[in-house]
Amino acid sequence: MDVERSDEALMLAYRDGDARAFEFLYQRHRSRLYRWLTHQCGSAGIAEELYQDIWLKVINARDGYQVSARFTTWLFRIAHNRLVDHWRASGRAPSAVGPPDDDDADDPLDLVAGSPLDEPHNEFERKRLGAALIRQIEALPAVQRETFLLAQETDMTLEEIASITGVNRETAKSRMRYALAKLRDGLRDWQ
Amino acid sequence: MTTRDPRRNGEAHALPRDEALSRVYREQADGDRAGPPAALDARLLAAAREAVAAPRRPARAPLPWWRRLMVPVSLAAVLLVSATLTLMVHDEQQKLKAPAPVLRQESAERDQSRSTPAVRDAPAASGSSNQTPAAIAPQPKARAAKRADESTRELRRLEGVPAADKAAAKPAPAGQAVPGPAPDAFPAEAPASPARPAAAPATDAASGAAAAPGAAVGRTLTPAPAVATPPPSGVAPEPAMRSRDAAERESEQKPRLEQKAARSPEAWLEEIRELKRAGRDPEWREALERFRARYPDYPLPEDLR
Repeated sequence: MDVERSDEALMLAYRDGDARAFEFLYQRHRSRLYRWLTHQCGSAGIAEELYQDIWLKVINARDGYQVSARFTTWLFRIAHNRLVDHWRASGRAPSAVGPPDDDDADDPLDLVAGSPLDEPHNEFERKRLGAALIRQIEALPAVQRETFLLAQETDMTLEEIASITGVNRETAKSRMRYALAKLRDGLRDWQ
Repeated sequence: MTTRDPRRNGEAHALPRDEALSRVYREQADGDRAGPPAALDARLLAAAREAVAAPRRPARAPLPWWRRLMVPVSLAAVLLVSATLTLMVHDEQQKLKAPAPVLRQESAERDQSRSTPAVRDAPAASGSSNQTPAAIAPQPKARAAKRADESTRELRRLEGVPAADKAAAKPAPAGQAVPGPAPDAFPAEAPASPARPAAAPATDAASGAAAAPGAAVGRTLTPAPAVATPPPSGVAPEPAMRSRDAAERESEQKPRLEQKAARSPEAWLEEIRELKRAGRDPEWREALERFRARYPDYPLPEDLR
């Protein structure tokens, strides 16, 4: 029964005292949030610390929870804010350098040579390609990496990603294009 | 390669995507079993259960404005009352401290004048009574003098010694044989201790007068003559009249004492100013010295500096 309920319904049930609803919700989002944090921080220890803080914020915020957005958007907004705090505390504020906000600028995707990614057929090569992709992701500038990971780990729209990262839609779109261009360029050998 | 896949709402509002990259990423994520440690999961789930199990605090209704202001207003009121009381007590203490030395000086002055009755008679006889502080004093002083006179008479009556008899029993004072200075408007400053020390000069017949006002009144009835020389005939008053004059002067002293005891520094300064205006140079300076000794931190007016 709980499996079929939406995230928002589960969170409301938890707000009203149903601890089991929270367990379902937690199981549904734990992996993606942890993965998102691990790729952002590059360190399992820091990712665990941030992960714990984020879920504790969710628990503590349950009394005032209202369905004003999708639960995923709410959860990742908390995660984004905590991550920014972490960057500030560690003196590593993410740079916004790179993508222009102008949508009319040259599309970075067009600048990348365009043969399709040659996805290997055997398991070993696929794993190698996956590991190479993760390395390229972690080498991206923080803001582009965050945008790409939000797009991959959630099914958020452009507006939702822009809202979470605190930029306008065009900036979010540009960050995503630059991220894709850099990833493709980094995986040129697989093309 | 690349499928730029506008998933939603057309090209302009779509999130750029690369399906091949997304597919590789998903495969990698699915194969990656790394997740948060089981202990962390357990801790978070326990915290979530604990938060639900804990009794929820009832939402507190916001306090009305008067309840919110109650504490600061009460504190302010307490502070105000405390400050007012402190100032009042301080003022009272100042008033209580001020008269003591003046009273002692009055007694000393009275003793001095009693030891030389002729001196006291001189200004009155010469018509210079308007120079004395008693004469300068306003009209209520006369009423106070009357009351003091009545009380003195009553005291005599209680002692059973008729004034006339007492006066007759005493030798006649020297009269105007030895003219002396007029009595001080402001006697010399006495030590600040309220009780007169026992080591006071034994020659001072009325040295205990300040400590015991009743005794002082009794002693005024028997003034010791300062000069043993007989008064010149025709100048000295009749003994009965002399005694009456002395009694009246004594009765005048009492309200003077009371008034001087209660006078404020401003009134004192005004009296000094009167002396200065009257041209009594050494006296007003002396009085000013006493004033400064009594009120060392009182700012002196320009005309008396």
